[in-house]
Amino acid sequence: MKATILVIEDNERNAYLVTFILENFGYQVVQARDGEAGIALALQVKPDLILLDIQLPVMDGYAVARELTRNGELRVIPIVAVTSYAMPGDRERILAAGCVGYIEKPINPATFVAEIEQYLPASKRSNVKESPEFAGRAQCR
Amino acid sequence: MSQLKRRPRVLIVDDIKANLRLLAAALRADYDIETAADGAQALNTARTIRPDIVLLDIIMPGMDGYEVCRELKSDPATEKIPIIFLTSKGDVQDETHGLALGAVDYITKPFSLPIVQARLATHLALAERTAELAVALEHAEEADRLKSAFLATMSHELRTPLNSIIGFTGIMLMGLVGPLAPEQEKQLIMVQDSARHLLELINDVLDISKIEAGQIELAHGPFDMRTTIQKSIEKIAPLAEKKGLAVTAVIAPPVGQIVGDRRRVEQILINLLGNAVKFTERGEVRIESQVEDGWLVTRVIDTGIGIRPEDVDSVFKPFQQVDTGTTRQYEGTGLGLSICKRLVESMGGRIQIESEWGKGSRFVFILPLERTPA
Repeated sequence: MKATILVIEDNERNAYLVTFILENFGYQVVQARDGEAGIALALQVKPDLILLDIQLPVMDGYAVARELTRNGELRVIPIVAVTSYAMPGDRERILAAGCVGYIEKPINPATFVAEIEQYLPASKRSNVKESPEFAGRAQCR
Repeated sequence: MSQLKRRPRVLIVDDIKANLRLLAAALRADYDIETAADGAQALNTARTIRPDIVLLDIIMPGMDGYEVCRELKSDPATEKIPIIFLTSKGDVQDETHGLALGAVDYITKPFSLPIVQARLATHLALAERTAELAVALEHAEEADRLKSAFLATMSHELRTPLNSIIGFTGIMLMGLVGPLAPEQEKQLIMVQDSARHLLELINDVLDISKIEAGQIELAHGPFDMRTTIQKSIEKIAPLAEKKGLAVTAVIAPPVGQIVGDRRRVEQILINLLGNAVKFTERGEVRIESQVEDGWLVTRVIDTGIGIRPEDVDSVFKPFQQVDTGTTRQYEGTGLGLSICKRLVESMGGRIQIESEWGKGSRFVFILPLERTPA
C-alpha cells in the first residue's frame, strides 16, 4: 500500500505539478490551499507524509508546522518543507519549526520523488529507481 | 542645520540677572536667545523650546548647573543638546567634572565675549554636522535593510513561477506526459536551459548580496582537495566533451586534506573550470594544484581566447563579462568570477589572472592550508 501524501501549497500550478509527479509514481495525493485547511485535512486523512509550502496565506508554514507537531495524533507524520525561501537562516528556521526536511524550489522533477521518499518507510515507497519512466531525459542532462 | 533659515536658539542659564542681560544683549545679533534664572526653569525651558545649545552657569541656588546638565543628558529628548558651562568655578577638578557630565566645553568667568561667541559658533557647527551624519547613517542603514528585504522577496517571488517552468518542462522531458516529437523535445530543452540560466542568475545575485552583506557563512571542516578537484572536473566533463576539449589535472602528491568550506571551494573550481571551457574553442583546459609555503596553490589554465590587457582589471567586477569582440556569444551571468574572488578572499586567500589575448588565460588562486575561523 503506497503512501498518502498531503500537499499544502497555495499556488495552484505548483500544487498541480507536485501532485502530477507523485500520482505518476503511484502515490495518493490530497491537497490543501492554506494552512488551516491543511491541518483540518491532516486530522481527517492522517497522511503518511506532509509536503508544506512556507509562504501561505493567513497562517504561514512555520505556524502550520508548529501546530502539526504540537498535535498528539499528527506529530508522528514527517513534514517536508517545499519552499522558495532560500535566504540565509531560512533552512534553520524551517527545521526549528518542526520540519524534518527542506526542499528548495524550483524542485528538480527528476530527483523529487527520491528526495521525499527518504522520509517514508520502505514499505510505502514507490521504488522510483526501478520505474521505467524515470529513465527519461531530464535527469541525464 | 537643515532648517536653513532658522537662527540657532541659545538658552542662557544664570542666577544673576545682570549676567543674563549682558550675554543676551551681546549674542542677540546672531542668535535667538532664551534665558533661565534657575535650574528648574532651565530644564523646563530646555524641554519645551529645545534650544540648539545651552550656556550653563554652575553655582546657582537650588539645583546647580551640574545637576541641570545631568538631567538634560539623561532625558532622550534633550540629551543631544550641547552644553557649555560658563562659570566662575575655575579649578581643574571642576572643569573635569563638568566635562565628564557630558558638557562639550567649559569657559571660566570672567570671560572674553569674542571667545564665547567663537566657541558657540564652533559647537553649533559641530552639532549640526553630527546631526547630519546621524541622519545619513540612518538613511544608509534603512537602504541596506530595504535592499536585503528586496532581494529576499525577489528571490522567492521568482522561484515560485520558475518552479512551474522547470517542473513542467522536466516532467514532459522525462516522458511522464507522453511521447514527444523530436522538435517538441528540442524546444522544451531550450525552455529548460533558459529557465536554468535564469535560476543561476538569481542564485548568483543572491550569493553576491549575501557576501556583500557579510551574511555568508563559511563551513570550517577538513576535506580532501584532491577529491574535490576530481569531482569538479566530473561536473564540467560533459560540457568539455561537447566541445571536444580535454580537461587534465596535475595534482601534486602533498595536496590532500585541507580545512575550509568544501562546497564553496567546489563552487570556485566549477566556476573557473566552466569559464575555461566556455571561452576555449580548441586545445585544452588544465588544472594544477600544489602546496607552496603553507598555501594551497591552484591554477586553471586554458588555451582559449584570453583577455585583453585593458580588460584584465574588470573581470572580477560584477556584471562585467568583457567584450569578446563577438556579439556576446558567451552566455553567462557575468557574476561568477566576482563571486569567486569574494569567496576566495573571505577564506583568507587571493585570486589572480594572467592572460594573453588570443592565447589563453591562467587563473591562480591560493588558499591557506589551515585557517582559524574568523
